[in-house]
Amino acid sequence: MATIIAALFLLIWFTFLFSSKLAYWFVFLLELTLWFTTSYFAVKVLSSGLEYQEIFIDKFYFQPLILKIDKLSALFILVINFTCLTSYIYARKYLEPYQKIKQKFSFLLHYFNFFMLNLSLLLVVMIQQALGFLLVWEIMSLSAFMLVIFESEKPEVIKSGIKYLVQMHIAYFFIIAGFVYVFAATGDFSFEGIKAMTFNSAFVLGIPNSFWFFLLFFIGFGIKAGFFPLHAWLPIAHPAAPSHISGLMSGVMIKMGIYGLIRVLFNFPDLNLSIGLFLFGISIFTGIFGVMSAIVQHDLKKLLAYHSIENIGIIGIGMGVGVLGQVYHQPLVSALGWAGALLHIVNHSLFKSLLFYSAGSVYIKTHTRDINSLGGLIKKMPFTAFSFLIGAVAISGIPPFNGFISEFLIYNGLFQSFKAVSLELPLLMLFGVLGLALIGGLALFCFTKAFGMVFLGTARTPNAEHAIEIEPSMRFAKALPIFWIVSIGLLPIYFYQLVTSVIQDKFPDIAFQNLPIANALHSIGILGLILITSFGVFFVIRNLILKGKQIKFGQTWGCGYQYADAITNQYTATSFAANFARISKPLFHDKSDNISYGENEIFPIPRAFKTHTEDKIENTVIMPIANTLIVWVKKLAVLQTGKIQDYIMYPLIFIILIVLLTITNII
Amino acid sequence: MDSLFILLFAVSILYFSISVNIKRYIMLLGFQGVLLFLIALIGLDELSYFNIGFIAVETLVFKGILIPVYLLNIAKRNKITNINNFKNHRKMKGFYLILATISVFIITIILGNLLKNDFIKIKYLSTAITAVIMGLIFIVINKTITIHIISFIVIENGVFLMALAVGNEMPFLINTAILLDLFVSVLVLGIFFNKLTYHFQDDSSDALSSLKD
Amino acid sequence: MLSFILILICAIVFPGLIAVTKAKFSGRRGPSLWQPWYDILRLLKKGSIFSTTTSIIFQVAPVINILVLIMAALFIPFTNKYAGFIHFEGDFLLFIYLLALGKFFIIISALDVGSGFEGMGANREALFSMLIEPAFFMIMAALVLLTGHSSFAEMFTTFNLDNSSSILFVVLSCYILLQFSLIESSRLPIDDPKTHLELTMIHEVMVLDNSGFDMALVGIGNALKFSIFGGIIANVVLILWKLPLWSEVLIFIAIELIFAITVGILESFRARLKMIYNSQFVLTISGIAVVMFLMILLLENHL
Repeated sequence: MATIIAALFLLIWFTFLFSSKLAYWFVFLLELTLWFTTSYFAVKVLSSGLEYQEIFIDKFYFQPLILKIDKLSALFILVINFTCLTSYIYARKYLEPYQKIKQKFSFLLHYFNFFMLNLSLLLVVMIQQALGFLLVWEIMSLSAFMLVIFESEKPEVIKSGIKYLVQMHIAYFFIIAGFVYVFAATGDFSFEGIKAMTFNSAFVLGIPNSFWFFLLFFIGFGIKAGFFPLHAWLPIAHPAAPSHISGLMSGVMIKMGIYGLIRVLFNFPDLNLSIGLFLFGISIFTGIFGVMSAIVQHDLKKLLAYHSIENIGIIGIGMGVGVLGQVYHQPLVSALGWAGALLHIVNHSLFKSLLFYSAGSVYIKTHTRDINSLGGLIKKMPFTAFSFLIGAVAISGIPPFNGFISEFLIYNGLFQSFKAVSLELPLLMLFGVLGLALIGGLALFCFTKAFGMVFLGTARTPNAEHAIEIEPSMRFAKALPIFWIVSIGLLPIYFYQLVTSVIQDKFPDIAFQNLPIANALHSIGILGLILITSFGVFFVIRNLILKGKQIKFGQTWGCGYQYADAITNQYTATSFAANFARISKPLFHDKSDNISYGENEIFPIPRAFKTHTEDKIENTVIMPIANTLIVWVKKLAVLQTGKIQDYIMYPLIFIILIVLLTITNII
Repeated sequence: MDSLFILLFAVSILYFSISVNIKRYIMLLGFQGVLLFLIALIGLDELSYFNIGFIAVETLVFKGILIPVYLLNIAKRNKITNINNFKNHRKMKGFYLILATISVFIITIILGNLLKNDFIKIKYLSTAITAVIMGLIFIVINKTITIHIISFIVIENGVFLMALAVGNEMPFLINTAILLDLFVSVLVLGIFFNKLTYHFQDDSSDALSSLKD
Repeated sequence: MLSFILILICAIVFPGLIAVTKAKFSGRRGPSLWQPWYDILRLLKKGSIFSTTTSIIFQVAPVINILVLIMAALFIPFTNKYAGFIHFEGDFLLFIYLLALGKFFIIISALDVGSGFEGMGANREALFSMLIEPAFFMIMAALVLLTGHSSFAEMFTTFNLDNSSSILFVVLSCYILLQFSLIESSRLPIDDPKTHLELTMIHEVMVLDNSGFDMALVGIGNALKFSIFGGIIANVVLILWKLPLWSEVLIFIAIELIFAITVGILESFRARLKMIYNSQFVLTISGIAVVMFLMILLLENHL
């Protein structure tokens, strides 16, 4: 495998020699090779259960670079490859309208970076030595940055891209710090090194030492994943990126943060209550915060970005259940939590990429992402509407699709804990049940709003009225995730076996096949099948009955007033969210800009009315901190004199200082 | 059985947070008084007749009947009906108060569990602390004197419950103290209040600030 | 299967019984017990009129809703004697999420007609059902706590009344389930099905544009939903005693009927809440459920 990857890495540079159309197919060819090779090994690892290991470079600085595929990596490899496949197929027609306005080079760069992102994503999950890991992690962030700023002629896109890049590097710093800590303590600069860590029982601020170590990794990987309060880049970068890239980033790239956390937690020698509590608590808050922000959001892609935060929360709840179950010695609780989290990672990559592609289709055909100016698209774009509906039902965790299966596993882990005779664990899990129930209800609220306002009713603007259905290749790209969404929903037992085989080594005592939950999943699959078929039968019967009867078409009932304007009289996304916005006032502030009447204004001038939602947490907690930071940084800028001799002077002072401090034995 | 009453007590605090009618508040106070009597009767093992009599007088007679009747009387005389005004509905005050009550309750249970003390009944203690904290919150967020009195009695109920949580018997001293508190607070405030409304025609404590030196 | 048949039977008399009770309490002679079904039969025979704004969603939703409810009814066990037709570990989760599937489609079908009124109803339904959802989960969590099993059938068969918390549970969960079903089926005090002002409706306004066959399906669905919740309440009450089968069947039906009459009485004497109070009210029910769960948790650990 190493040789193929190296060869592909060399070949990809030839992309820049082709025309943009040829380059697409050239990169496609390389991608195919990459997908087939890595997927082949991943499937082999999953089916045989044996780890695959290959030395890539003997000595890469002070470490060998080893490609290692264990079951966890294998699962991630399959997810990465599938999402990249759909994303790349989708990209061809999505980028076509840009051909007129953009240069050839930007397309070449885009395809090149797409390959690099795919490659680096794969390497991230394969390399466990810190040096190589950090290298490919950086390539991943940089190539994603290049992909995000595809529409670089727009200033806001560049701005979002820079914000993303800066936050990624803050994360990078924390990850490096974490690894260096491991290296200093054990002499092993890798994930494996964490296993050998020993923590003294010292407490810092009343919290065990190991928690602070975990916090380093949590901040580093958490920024990538988008846990609250580290989520700020997600709703900025996702709308700016082209839709297939948003789908890829949201479906796979943010999962790399989760991957890192899972690796750290699987290797963690001393899981204690504080880590579990922290992860669990922050995940519940992340989930609820994400979905609440999504409801008051009226930019379709931003809404989906906030939903990614919510789903990270759900995955985090699963992981929290896993950790807490271990802490309280309830292996079954723990196993179900981990299984749910892993399956949700797979599920989320499917429906979130599907939703982003659908949102992209809407954007490319109507040129707007504002939900309030869309509407009635189901008649113009039936397939897009259908795919969005599937995604919406799945992401709300509603059967018979895949979202329900993973939430079912997590719920079962939570309810399993109530059987334990202890007080603390059920008390904690209570929050999980309440949180998940609330998240489910809110997601339903949000996606009925999004689907209803975008695809149903009457078109609100001419843009939406003249939309047409997308091209077949894009439809094909969307049909692929739909296939898996439905099959996970209807045949959950096989995917349950898949995710449980990943964690089997961790829980050797549990026979996952014989758990009652395996039986339950079997029944759920059959019931889903029955539901779908009986729906088909019943709907046909209904249509046959209606056929013999008089069917009339008329206007929507307008409370007896039939000349009302159908466009302005329908409910908008803002009004749909209004009653929710009222109860969530402590978190979000619905701001409306209107000008009051002047004193001498006898004949009112025409006015516009605009509403937008403010995130109060960001305004009152994050922004003041950021502003203070800026003030201090500005004060430091005194040093930036602009004179070359001053700049030479600083290192001189530094060297002298170092020498002095060393002599006096201070450092 | 006592847990049913404790639970009802906790639910009555929840009910407090969504009530708007002064009558309902006062009825709830009476209800809490009766509940406290029942809890004390079941919860205390070592009861002398004197103690039962004293507790009965304190909870049933005073908290259950006399104070509610007295407060109802005041409310009627001063024509106070609604405590929340329209502005409070818009702010969804009740909604947040429910959330606050539940979270305070859960947190007190968790904290109570940390005590790991066999002598303390956690369900009593956590409900009691919830009552005290919620009483304080009611006072903080409301302007009207009437609700200040009512919240004060809720706090007193919480203190009573807390005394029950600690031991098998009710110390005489605590009983008397609570009773004295009640006398001082309700009766004096009642008289004070009657006189005040006579002068200000309003039960908002804003008017009191004009009395300061 | 027995409970499924009983639920279907009760669903037939449910809407009529509520209407008759309300009529008797307001001093009218009232309609026949079967009047709602005459209406539904009439609707089934009628043709339909569709808004030109609507799409396939509008026609699909009533069908999905009724199917989901029929499937949900199959989950309900018959006391401790028979398990439901469908039962497995954690089946109550599928039960509640199936109801959510029906709700999802009814909500988007309301948005499909592109009317301000129906959007309003859809939005309220979505909000209130979200706020009440934790209550059901808490009842189920309490049952898991009390019995150590997590499927409808096993919960009811292994429930024993030895400890005091069981009685506590039965009393409170009956109250919570009553309120829960009132909110889920959009009755007073949240929503008044007989109101004449669209601005204050929730469920009724969502199906304003349905007609003919689809409207009949919606009507059947409402009756069925009520009956399902009645069935759960009957189960919770019946675990208080261990009785022979025939008397349990009778009591099951009796409880369902009492439930219907209770709804009728409540609706006769209660006024609809101001819309602004609704979310507080709904949340209070969930809050009570949480408090109940905490109490049972404390009791079960014998502290």
